[in-house]
Amino acid sequence: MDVTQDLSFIHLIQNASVLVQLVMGLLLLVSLMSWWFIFIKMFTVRQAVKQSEEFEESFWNNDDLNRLYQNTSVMRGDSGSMGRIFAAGFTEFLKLKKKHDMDNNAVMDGTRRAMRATYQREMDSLESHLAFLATVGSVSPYVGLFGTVWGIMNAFRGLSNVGQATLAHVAPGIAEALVATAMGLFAAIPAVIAYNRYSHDITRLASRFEIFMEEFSNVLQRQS
Amino acid sequence: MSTIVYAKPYKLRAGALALVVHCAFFALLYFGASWKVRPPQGMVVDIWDSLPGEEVAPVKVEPSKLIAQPKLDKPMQPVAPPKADIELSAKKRSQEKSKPTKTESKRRIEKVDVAEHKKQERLRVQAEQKMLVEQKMIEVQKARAEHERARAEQANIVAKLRRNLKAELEKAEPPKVVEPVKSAASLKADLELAEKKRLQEKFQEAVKIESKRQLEKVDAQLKLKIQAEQKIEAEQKAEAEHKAQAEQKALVKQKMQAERKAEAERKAEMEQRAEAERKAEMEQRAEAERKAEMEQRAEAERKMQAKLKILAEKKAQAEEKERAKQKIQAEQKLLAEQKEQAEKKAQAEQKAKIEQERARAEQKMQAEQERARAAQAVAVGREVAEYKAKIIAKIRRNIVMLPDIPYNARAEFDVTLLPGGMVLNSILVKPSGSAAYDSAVERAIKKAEPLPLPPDAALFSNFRELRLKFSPKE
Repeated sequence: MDVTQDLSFIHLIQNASVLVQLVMGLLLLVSLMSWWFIFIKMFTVRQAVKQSEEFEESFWNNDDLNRLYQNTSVMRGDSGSMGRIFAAGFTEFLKLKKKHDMDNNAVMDGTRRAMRATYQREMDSLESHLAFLATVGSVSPYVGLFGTVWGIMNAFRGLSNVGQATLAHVAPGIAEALVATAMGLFAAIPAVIAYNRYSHDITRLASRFEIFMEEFSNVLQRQS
Repeated sequence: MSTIVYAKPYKLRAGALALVVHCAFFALLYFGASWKVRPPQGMVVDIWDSLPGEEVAPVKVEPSKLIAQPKLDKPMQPVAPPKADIELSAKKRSQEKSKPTKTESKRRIEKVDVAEHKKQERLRVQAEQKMLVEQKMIEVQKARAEHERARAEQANIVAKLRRNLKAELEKAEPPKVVEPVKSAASLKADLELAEKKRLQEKFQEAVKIESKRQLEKVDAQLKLKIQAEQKIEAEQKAEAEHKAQAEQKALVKQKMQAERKAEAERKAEMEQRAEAERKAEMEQRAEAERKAEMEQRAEAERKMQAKLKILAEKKAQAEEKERAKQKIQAEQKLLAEQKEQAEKKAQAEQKAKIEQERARAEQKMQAEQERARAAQAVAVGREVAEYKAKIIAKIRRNIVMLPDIPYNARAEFDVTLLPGGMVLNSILVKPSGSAAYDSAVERAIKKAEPLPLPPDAALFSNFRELRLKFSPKE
């Protein structure tokens, strides 16, 4: 082992032991996945916020609920989560209203239930993949550390065959092993940041939906 | 459901972005990690013990150039060029002269280095020479300085002359410019101009001659000085060589004398050694003869001794046989005595064993009796202690505790009992310090009648007089 050995990044990965290489591959895959989800979440959350803002604006500016309902049912997917909640609630309200023997409170309860169901479904789809990000953020440093520990163990085991131990004998092995930790951290840090950011964004969206549901049910109660 | 459907277009974009991020990261790692690997490029360093001689020369030349350049730049060029050439050539000559002196001095110094190892007297001479050389160098420098001063003075003189001439010309010129038409005036002016020109030329010639003379004088002085110095050096060299030759001759003579003496001494030594060797040979021969005689005598003696030894050995064998017989008899006797002693010992041991067994049996019997007694005593003590505890417990049950009794109060009572457990008398031996507690205990003792006693009447003697201790702690 020369001290002037080539310690370039690719060389380090090539010289690592098989297990460390496996760990590095796993981490690379996880990192790719987590970045993929990060970008997907980024776009979806941004879109959801934008759509709900637009819908709220049109809801409060439009006095005729029927026309709004027709617009949203025409738009279908583009109306956003809040639009879908509104559509579900209003459909249920209209259906229940047609049955004249229904009590007013019962109508309102049915409408609220329908809206809540849609709300839960929307939240579920918004929160999908967040658990994956949390897992990556908490576990991948340990996986990387495992690879590092394994690599360092190998480095020291190689050292036992050498009579006089110098840093030059261990250094390449340790450098190889530390690449695994670097990759683990590279996967973990963005995942943790993204998880915190998106969970916060989604909580805000959820509270916004709930407020809308309350306000919308008030409006319906006034009409009925 | 539907959101997932609408998220699909993002998936490709997100995947591409993720790939881009990773590529950027790995590029950063790759280039970042490979920067530090390149080993530093080697450097070639020359170590010089001393500066090369060439660098010294330009430093000495520069000042003269610096002085020479401003002169060339001055406006008097048309008049001065020959002078400047002469000055430069003179300088060059003086430098050329001074350079050889330097090289000579260097050579001398080298010679001095060689000579230092040979003799000290030469050193002194050469040190003097060094001093002279240095003095000469200083003189040469002084001469140069004088030379330069002279040049500067010449330049000043020339400049003054020129200024004067210009002033005169300027004075003379205006009429020529103003009256170009008037022929008489112009003729006069021409005449005047011609005269002025002649005057200028004369001036210039005079200046040239003066400067040449001065230069020549300075040069001649320099040459004379240098010649005188060279002569002095030559004389000194000659003296030094004479001295060295004389010393060498003296040394050679001394060496010759020393060699002759050494040869004479060697011859004498050789003769002495030869005589000594002859004597030694004679002595050795005599000794060898004596040795031979001695050896013959020694052999005769050895033979005699050998015969005597054989006789002595035979005697010794006979004696040893007799001794062996005696030893065997003595051993037999010893064995018989030992057997008798062993039998006696065995009998004594048997007797001792029997006695010991008897003693052990007695001790066992005694120990068993003691144990039985002890067991009885222990049983009695246990019963007594048990009933005492019962008595105390019964009395304590009857104590009516008051609120303000100190925790560490401790009262002792002597209680006299009648058979049947009735209390005959109870006396306060050690008051607790709290009268309330004392009286409460006394009342309790009376209340607790009849006190519990063991059914065995024989044990009552242990209960007749009781000392009981009471404390609110327990």
